Amino acid sequence: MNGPLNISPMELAEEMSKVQRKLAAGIGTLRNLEDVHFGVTTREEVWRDGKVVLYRYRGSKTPTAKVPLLISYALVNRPYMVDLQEDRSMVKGLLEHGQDVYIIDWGYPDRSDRFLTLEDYIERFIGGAMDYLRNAHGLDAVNLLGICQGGVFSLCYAALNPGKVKNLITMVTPVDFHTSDNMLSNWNRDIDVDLLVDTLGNIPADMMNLTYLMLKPWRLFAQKYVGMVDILDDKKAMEDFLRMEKWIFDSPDQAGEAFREFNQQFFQRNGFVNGGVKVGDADVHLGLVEMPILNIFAEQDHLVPPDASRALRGLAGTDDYTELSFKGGHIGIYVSSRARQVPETIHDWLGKRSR
Amino acid sequence: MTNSSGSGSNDFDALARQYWGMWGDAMRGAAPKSAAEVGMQGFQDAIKTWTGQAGGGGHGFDNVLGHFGRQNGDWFAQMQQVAAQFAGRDNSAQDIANAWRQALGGAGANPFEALLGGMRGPGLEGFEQWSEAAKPYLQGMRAEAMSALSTPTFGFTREHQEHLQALAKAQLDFQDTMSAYNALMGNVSKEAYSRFESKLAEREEPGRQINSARALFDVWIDAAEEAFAESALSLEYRKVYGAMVNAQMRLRSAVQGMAEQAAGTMGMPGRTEMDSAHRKIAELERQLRRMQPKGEHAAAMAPANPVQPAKAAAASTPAAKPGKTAKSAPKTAKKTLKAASKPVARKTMKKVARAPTKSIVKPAPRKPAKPAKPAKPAKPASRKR
Repeated sequence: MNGPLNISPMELAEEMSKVQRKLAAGIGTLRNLEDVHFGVTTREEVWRDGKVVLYRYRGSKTPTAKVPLLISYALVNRPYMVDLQEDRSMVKGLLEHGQDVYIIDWGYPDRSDRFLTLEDYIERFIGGAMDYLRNAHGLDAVNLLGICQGGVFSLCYAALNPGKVKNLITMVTPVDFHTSDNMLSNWNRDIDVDLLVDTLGNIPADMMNLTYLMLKPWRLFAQKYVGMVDILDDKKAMEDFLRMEKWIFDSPDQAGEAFREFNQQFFQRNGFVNGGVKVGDADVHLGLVEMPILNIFAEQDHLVPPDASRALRGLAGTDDYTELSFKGGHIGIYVSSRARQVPETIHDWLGKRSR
Repeated sequence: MTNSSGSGSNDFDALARQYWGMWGDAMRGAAPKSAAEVGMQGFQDAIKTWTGQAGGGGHGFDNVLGHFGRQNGDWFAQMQQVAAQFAGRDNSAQDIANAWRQALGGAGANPFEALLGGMRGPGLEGFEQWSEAAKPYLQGMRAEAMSALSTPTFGFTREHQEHLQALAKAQLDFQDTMSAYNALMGNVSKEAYSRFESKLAEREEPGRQINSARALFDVWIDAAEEAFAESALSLEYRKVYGAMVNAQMRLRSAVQGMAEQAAGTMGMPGRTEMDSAHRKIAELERQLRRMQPKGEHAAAMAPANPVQPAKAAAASTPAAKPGKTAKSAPKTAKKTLKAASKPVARKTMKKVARAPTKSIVKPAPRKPAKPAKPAKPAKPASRKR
């Protein structure tokens, strides 16, 4: 046959028949699926401030690292984003290498949390958790790992409290919000954020997720579910799929005031690059971030383009700056098979700076 | 696994027999339906059967199945229909692209508008969805208010009339901005069709040809995403999207204001009142925290029996007892000061020189707030009978 489509009616019928077999098997698969579990590592609460909780994660062996590592993720996520399942857990990887891992759980803000500001999240919550760890471990400074928006928070905290952060790791963290390939930033620039927050109060999680879906509407809303047919007869694959659905759509609402400050200072004014970032009354300058930095970014990140992260090199005050370029996307960096290299890299990098 | 599906399996068997029968008829030239119709019906029936049966299990998969059913029933099934039109015969990129355009509604079809409009679900208040939900309420007053939108209001109810006018204007404004957004999506759709045809043309040579409806669908996805990304990164998109979001917020704000007023008449607290209380609490908490000496906040928030640090860590740092003050708080403060001042002179000035403000102020050391004097205990009020 001439032309781009070379398919016979029988081949097309067979393709359809195969889909039907998958669908038929899928009924059994879905009915036999048990509850999908997520967040696999044992943890215990060690500190709390309101809805915000600091958890210590326990691995199968005692940590060998002398300095604990605090992980701060984005407000739109949940802690199990880095501890999804047995074979997809950054936390497990870090524990296996001997790290002493803590994660700050932001909880689910409700209307009573609407007036939490960036100062609350950075100085009160991250600061409170860091002070707890410093006290508990008898150390001047501990290690801090920030993910995405949590990385921005970590940079702010490190700039304001450089003596309390021994080593700083940033993962898929935007620094230059105005790179030409930053779709999310482009959409934010003309939005009246004051009006948005004054109207909505807290920003609904569904609205946030809709925005993320719209970044790649056909892939994330159409192609993804067509592709699901392929794994309908595979119980394990379907469990993984549903776990990822949970990972993606289990999002807390965003505290209104913190959202306002974050969007205006970073998405709209590109504060790290142009200056003017304030946390409470304090000015934030990345030049004050002088501790060692490991900056990890994803090459196919559609949320935080690599250049947005790479900008940290030219802005941070440190002389000890390392980059890790990960071959994957914004989510794959935690959950793909290649993601196993990330904990090892972090451990090795910290190990060289533990003395 | 198929056994456990019970009668579902029989349904699929029957469907498969019917489907193959129709294909056989179509290929013999005796079919009551065209090959394209057979393809479409077969897939849509299968999806309908599947979502009905799989969703009946009560395992909380409704969201997944909802997405799946909608997207497969619409987009992929239509692409499968297009593939069926050209199965077994010569074709061209232009023919297929045209057929796809026709399948989606002809020259003016706007699949992006349809796709984005389909992004809905419980609790998902997007732009169109919200407008749709508010429509009955807005339409009730719209006809009346439309004719008087620009006339001055007076009398006892003038404030209410003014609110209604503002609400109607906000609704009209939102509709205008949404039309502009959909028009932009219409342009993106045209670009997507064009890219689809170009991508198909690249696949005409033997060895690169497309061998399944699914692969054909994937080519469309690539074309559509490319077209959308180009627009979504543009200044035009920023303006149109921003205007639509802002207009929606003005409309929501106007509706909320009226809802709050209605709630007030029934003695219910509104958003403003609740926000005011929450703001006060947040500010009080913040002030309280600032009054505490540094470090006390963390200790105060730790549970009564905090966990011990890891054995290994504890062994290497014997003084590591929970609750113990960091061993050198003054040193930390000193380091902070040093770090704060050094880069300003050395690095920060250079690196932040691009900042428009050009005024890099040396960050002042953060003084701990003076501990507040303990309040005098209040005298017990004398009770008078």
